[in-house]
Amino acid sequence: MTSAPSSAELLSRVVSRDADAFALLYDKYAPLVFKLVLRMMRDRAEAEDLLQEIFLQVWRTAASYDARRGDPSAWLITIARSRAIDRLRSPQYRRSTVEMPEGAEAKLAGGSDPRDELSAREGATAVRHALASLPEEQRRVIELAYFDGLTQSQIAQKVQEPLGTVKTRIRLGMLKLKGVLALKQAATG
Amino acid sequence: MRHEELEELIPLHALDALDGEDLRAVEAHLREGCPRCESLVREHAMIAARLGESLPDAAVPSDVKRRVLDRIGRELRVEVPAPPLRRRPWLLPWGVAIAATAAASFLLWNGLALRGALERERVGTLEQQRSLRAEADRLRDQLALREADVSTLRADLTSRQSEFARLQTQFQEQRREAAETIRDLQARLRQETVLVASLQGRLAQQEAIIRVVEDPQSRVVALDGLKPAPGASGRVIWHSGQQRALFYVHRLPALPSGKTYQLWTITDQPISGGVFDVDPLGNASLRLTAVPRQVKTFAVTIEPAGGLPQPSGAIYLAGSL
Repeated sequence: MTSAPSSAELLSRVVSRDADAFALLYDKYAPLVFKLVLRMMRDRAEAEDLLQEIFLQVWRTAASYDARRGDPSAWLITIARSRAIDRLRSPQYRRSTVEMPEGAEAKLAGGSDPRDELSAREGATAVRHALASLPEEQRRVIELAYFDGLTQSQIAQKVQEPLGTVKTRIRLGMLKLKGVLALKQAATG
Repeated sequence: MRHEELEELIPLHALDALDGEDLRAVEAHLREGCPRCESLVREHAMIAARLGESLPDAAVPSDVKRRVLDRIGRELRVEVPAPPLRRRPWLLPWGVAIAATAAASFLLWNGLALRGALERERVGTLEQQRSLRAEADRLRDQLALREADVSTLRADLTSRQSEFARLQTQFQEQRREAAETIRDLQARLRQETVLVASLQGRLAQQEAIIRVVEDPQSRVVALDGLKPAPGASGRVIWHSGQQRALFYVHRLPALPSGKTYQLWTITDQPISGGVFDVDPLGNASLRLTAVPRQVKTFAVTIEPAGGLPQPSGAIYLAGSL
């Protein structure tokens, strides 16, 4: 039995047009990418459409992945978020005013590979704890940027705080997340 | 922007939250190549990549994978390089055959030439296809770059528009405030102007009084309170040369309604010097002109409002030269 190939290996096989490696990469990351874009777009049809678009871009631009700029998951999530943000910020796009009910996505959960579930769950718990450890006002601005794709000025307008305050909150929040996640990693890894 | 400030913007950059001048400054700095900031970008990108894990799981629609794989399958088929050309194994046998049979048919030659032409055409077409594909790839890359530019410009435009709106609101507020301040100042200016005019009037009065008092030709006549007002006292400063006089009175009783005090200059008979009312302390003053040179006595009586040509009421004050 050989161990499962790493994401970086899969990605380099994708560069040499290996469709099987691509399918494995899809299985590994589609759940994370999908729940992220579903949260960002708050619309299932838009999210499905984006999921397809994102993985096609992964296939086409795999050669542009630069390991010096982060690991494959960071590269993939960057692609996913920029595609979603492009849509959210495009003048044609009308931001849905219907808030997704809390946990609506969770009800749709299931069907993922049980082998990956344990480690994925551990990761999710760590990130949830890290986010929960932030002061409310820091968590809010980070979520508005990350999940709602708002810019610093839009956030300032939304939370009715000066731009400088918003920038400081995001920066401090990210620094704290970095510390907490690094600690958790050190503790578990 | 100082390097320290740029570094502070990296966490926001990792969340795609920068806009406006901040976005331009950070991107320009990263393009220049800064190992320290690149390492920060990497660290924050890794954190950002993980935030999505916190979301509740959502079932991935199964048909998306099929659609994506179908699509890349089609792209692969187009991309697969054309199989290498057959090595024309027929050339030699045909060549031998031609050499062996001197009476080779013209048709055969003709066919061979046709196949050669077709083969050349096929090679040409394949090369053309390859170069078209390369061109398409290049155009696709260019399009992706342009799309990225457009989205940057669009974000920039949005942020500039909101900055403009903010400045406009600020400007309007300041204009309103300024207009209010101007109105306030104008009202105060009007009040001050009225005050200055009244002070000028009083000053002129005081100067006139001083001039009369200082003049050696002025004489002072004391007026004593009589029976109706024993506590009252008055004074007339009289300048015989100019026939002018100033009259002051103190502690006269308050007037009943419909009544007035009237001052008289008496030569052979009384001549009215004017009517007056008193302030709450019983004080009053009057300026008199055309006082007869032969005046002997000054007196104050109480009269019906408006005064009379000849005194009719009780005498409150009197004094003689």
